[in-house]
Amino acid sequence: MAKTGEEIRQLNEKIVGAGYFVDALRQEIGQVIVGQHHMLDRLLIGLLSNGHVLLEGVPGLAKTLTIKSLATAIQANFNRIQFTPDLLPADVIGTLIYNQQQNEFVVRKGPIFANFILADEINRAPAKVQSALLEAMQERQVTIGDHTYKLDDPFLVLATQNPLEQEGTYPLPEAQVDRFIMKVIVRYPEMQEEQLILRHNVQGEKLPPIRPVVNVQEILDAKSLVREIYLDEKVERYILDIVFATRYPGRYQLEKLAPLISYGASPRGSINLALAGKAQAFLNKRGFVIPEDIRSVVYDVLRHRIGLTYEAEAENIAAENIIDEVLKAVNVP
Amino acid sequence: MFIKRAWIIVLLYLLTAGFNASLLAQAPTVSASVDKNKILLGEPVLLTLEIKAPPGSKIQPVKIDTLPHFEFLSKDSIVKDSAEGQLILRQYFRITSFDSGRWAIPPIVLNAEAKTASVLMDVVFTEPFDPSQPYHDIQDIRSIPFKLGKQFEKWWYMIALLLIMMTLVVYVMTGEKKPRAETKAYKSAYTRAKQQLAELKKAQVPESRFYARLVEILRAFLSERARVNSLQQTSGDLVEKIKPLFNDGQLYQSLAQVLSLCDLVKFAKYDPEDAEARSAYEVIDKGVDHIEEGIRNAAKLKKDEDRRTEMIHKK
Repeated sequence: MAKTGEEIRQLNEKIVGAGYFVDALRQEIGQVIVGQHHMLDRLLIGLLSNGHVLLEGVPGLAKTLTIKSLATAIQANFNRIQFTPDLLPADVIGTLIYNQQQNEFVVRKGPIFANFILADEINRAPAKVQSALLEAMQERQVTIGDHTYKLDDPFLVLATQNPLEQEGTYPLPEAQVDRFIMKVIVRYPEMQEEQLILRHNVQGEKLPPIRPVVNVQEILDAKSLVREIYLDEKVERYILDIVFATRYPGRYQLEKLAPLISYGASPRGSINLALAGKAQAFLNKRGFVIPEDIRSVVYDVLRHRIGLTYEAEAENIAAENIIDEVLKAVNVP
Repeated sequence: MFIKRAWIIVLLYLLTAGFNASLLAQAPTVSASVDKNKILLGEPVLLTLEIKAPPGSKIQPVKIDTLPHFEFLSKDSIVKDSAEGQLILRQYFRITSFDSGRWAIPPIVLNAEAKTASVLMDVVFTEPFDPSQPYHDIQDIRSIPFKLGKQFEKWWYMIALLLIMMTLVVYVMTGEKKPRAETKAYKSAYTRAKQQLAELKKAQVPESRFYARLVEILRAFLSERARVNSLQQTSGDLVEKIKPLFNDGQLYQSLAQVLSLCDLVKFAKYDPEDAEARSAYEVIDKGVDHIEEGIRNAAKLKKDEDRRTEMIHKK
């Protein structure tokens, strides 16, 4: 829907008012988590844009603590599911169990019934469990027996993958990975940050408890505001140019990339880039999207949607390098 | 008595021995031989069949139609010869085999008493690889002296002449025009930007277009003059990139604000006041002048620095 300048201005004002919790959340979680601002921002983008986030990083980078702290700060439910090779779909979504006293089957809901789910090491479970989770993520509902149950709103799944171990894992197929709005690489903390972490742990300082700073309703309101954020046609075109450059590099004078890309980003890539751009604009307390918002989320949104060829892998070229080249070639409106 | 009996025995023995020897001398013999005992698949081999018999003997010709595992390529006619008082009949066959393995050419029978011995033949698919042998090229590299055909000699002179002429033309063209081209680019980026700004001021364009054009002019100027890939930079990135080009902090801040204002107009349908438009125009205009001056000064400083360094080196 086309908006007038005045409507955008009013939306901007609303967002400045509604987005107060972003700073409050950052501050509150910052008391417990040292660094990892990028991961926290990406979780918020996932939360506000109704998407799910795939985290990749070695163990011990405070992934669980971050999402747990976020859930507490939002007054939301949190469940963690450790994916193992013997996990069954029923262990995730729930099952029917027989109640002898009442002589009937009753529903035992699985851990997926929560606002925040940490699917730890998702690539350790076989395909049927992965697909049960991913289907629930997509549909936002699960069917147990004859009944279909809607999942809570907000519903954010954070799946983690351990990049170090490959044995005994079931890597997510490209089509499944595409369902995540972003794939975030969680990096090691900076030296100064790690010094702080070290001090906290060695001195046995108890971390301050996380206080709730925002409630679920405010998050839901913010989500609807994010949808309203104005995305100009020029920015839309910019998004499409980026995505199309990954598909048809030759059209953007990027012929050298053609042998390195086996497949480009899907239409879901364009949609998610726009949604994540809107959420990023919200975090920056703006009622409209500018190309900077797109650029700041483009790596996380597209890195898992670009297929690399053997040639690229042989030359140690990552999806990030491809995105770098694309951004250097696509004109900013 | 005893001597008489011994003489009879010796005489009888001599008689029988002579008879046997004459009998053996009259029996024909046959032999088969090959020129090689190991061939590759399909490689021809010469099989020689030789019959020796006393002169005047009636020898039935040997008919060999087939040999197991072997094929006949050709059969020569029988050649007659004589040596040591014996008749020699010789026939040559060219045979080959397409079955790999060790095969025997079976005895060729002339009659019950005369037959050849079987001849063993190895038929191999390829020469076995001998890892103990040093590696070498299939064929030794031979150096062939370069000889130009007489018919080409005049063409070489023509090509050499043409190349010299082309080099002269290129030298004349680039040698004179190179500094001119640099001056042209150097002047054109600035003058073009100023010219475009002047045209924009005169033109009656909608505000959104006015701001978009303003940024376009600045970006194009920066791209050409300051070698900043400004067309692919967001306003925020651009502001960071051009920071080193500004000595004037206030002007830099104003330019950053104008770029931000342009984003508002372009992406948020912001409707600025006329005064804002005038101010934005002036800031961009001044910004272009400032950047141009900064680049010229930097180039001049570099030139002076280079000259100074050169003088120090000379001293």
